[in-house]
Amino acid sequence: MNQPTERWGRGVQRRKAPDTADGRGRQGTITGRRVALGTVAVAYAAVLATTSPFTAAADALTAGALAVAAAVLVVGLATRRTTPSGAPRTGETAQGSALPWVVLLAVAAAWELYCFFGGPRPAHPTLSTLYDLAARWPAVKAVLVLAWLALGWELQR
Amino acid sequence: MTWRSATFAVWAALGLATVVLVVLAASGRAGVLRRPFVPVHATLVAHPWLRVLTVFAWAWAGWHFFAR
Repeated sequence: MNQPTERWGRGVQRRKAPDTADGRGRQGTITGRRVALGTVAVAYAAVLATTSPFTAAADALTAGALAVAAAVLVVGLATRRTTPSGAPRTGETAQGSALPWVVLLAVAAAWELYCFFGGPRPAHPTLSTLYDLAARWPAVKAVLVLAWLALGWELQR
Repeated sequence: MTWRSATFAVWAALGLATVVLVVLAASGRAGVLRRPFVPVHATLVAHPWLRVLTVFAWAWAGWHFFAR
């Protein structure tokens, strides 16, 4: 019996769940879950953006997100899916490579180190300096928190 | 051009490059089924230690920027 399959980014083929009688199917559940997660993420970012570093509230909120991420990481590693035979086992895929990201990350890390050790901070602002400038506005800080959460989500999927 | 403005310019270029990569990935030009970071996912799945290291770096960044 040929069930429809879809190729997921991790190189794993999953069977697509058949639609239910009301026509919504699994997709509706996934969309609802994403909307719920997005709402929680926006609320979390809005609250965290109102805190100041070196306070108990900032510590607790950030530690909460880290605890969730640690739990997801442990569960993810314990139930790790493997790539099917013949599938690429490195960053190479049929349509892309991780190389651009690696290069970008390496250049950014090198530039950060150069700025960090290169001289007086006003003349060589690091990422932390840029963040401190931007985080003066809670809305900008909330966007940065959301970006951080989105990156964590992508890394854990 | 001062060192400060030059440094800001390099950071802006790196930020722009990040945005370009994200847009390319999201539009399907650098990923499968229009999912961003597909090649990165494949690498992280193939190397669990790299995944742990990456998540640790993400956690450290969050702690550094938002808590400390």
